[in-house]
Amino acid sequence: MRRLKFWLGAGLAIALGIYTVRSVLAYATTSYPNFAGVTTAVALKDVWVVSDTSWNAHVKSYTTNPVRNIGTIGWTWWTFRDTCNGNIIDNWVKPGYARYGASEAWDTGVDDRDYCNGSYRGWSLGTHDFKEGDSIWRPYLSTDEGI
Amino acid sequence: MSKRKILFIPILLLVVGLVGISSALLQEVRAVNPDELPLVSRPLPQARGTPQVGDTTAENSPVTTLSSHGVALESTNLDAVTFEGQAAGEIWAAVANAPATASESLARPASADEQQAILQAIQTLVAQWSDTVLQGSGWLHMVTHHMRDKDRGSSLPNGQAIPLNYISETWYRLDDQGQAVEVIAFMRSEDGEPVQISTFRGNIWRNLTVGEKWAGEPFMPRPDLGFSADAAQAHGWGSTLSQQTTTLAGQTVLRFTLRDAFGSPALIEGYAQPVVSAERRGYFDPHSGVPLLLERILVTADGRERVVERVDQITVQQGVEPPSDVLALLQQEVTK
Repeated sequence: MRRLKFWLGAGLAIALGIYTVRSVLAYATTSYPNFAGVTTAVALKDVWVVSDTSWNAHVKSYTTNPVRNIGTIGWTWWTFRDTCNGNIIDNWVKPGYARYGASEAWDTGVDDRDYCNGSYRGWSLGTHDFKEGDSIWRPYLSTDEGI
Repeated sequence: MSKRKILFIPILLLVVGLVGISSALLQEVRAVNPDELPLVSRPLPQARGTPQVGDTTAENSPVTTLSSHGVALESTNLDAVTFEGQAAGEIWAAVANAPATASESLARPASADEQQAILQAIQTLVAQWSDTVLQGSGWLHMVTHHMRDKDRGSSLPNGQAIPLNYISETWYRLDDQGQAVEVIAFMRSEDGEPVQISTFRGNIWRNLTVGEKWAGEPFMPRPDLGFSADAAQAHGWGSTLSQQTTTLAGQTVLRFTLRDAFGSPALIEGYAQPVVSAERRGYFDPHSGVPLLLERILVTADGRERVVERVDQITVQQGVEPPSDVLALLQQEVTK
């Protein structure tokens, strides 16, 4: 029994470690509990490296606890960019996007990885859009990662 | 508390952890799912030109000036920038032990052992150059010329177009660990005009051109522009490494290639055609480890092989302070 508990504990530590690191490194979220009195609205941005060729930027607006279709869900604007030593190398500006009567909206952008001799980072930034009845929530959220 | 309850808690937590792993794995799968990739199809003409960088080289300073194809032209501090004797011999030995495969055909993929040997050769070579460039505290001045080929470019938040071809001029102030603690970075057009200026001071990045700032940390500059770091991750990404001895501007050089074969065609922002494979090529001086030329190649679904980025090292200069007007940029603040 003691040996079983040891291995379960070790597995737990590794699994939670991976989960935590993955979360901390990648996602940025902000949420609005009890949005319009019916759900929790969540705004999410993410950046990750796919391979030596490309990296991905992600934007997602969704509801949870409980998942609920709301009047409007999406974002008013979204941009992803890469910077080398603070200077913007590519800056891809995407139009606003909205779904009506839906519980989630998302998009993923793909950019190539340029050469940089210093701090090279990928960014996902923009303002999310949630509406239900008279309730409106438009949080700005950005995240960046070394790519 | 009963034994059954004690056992239940770690099992429950393990399930939570496994859900986390599954989530992370699904995220990676999503990254290469072409159904989720946005379409881009508006072409934009672009041109190539000749770099004209202002010479900021100070007399009697440790400097390596490189030609457009990276051939060393001048060195005023040979102790700092030349590699002779035993150290160079060790590099040659490491390189000689790595298999030379022709990257053009890749008819016979290198084995895992061969891949490891090539990676070792790259790291040995790059470490030689990086250790020299990053040794000691003080200022490091690096200038690179980037030539890019895209179907569509992008613009800064202020509406100014970001040039496809540009000169990157960066001043790093290194601490005694070789970490950059202050940075002044210019993106210049090929005729030398500043397009963007950014600084790093007090762990804050400031893009003075667009008026944005954000938190950062000291970091190690990458004199090989990240080539060895990518090579180190090639296996995890499913990319393959190969090595070839070739000539560049009449000089015998080592060319290393990372080849990324996509599972399915992928659309990348700025390119009209889906990409089916890609290569990252680094041409290195076999004696000094200087990265003479770096390239990125995309192979599109129509069979076209495009060199989408080519980078020449123009200047690597150690121990010279930036001009006073450049140094003053560190004190500029932004509002956002």
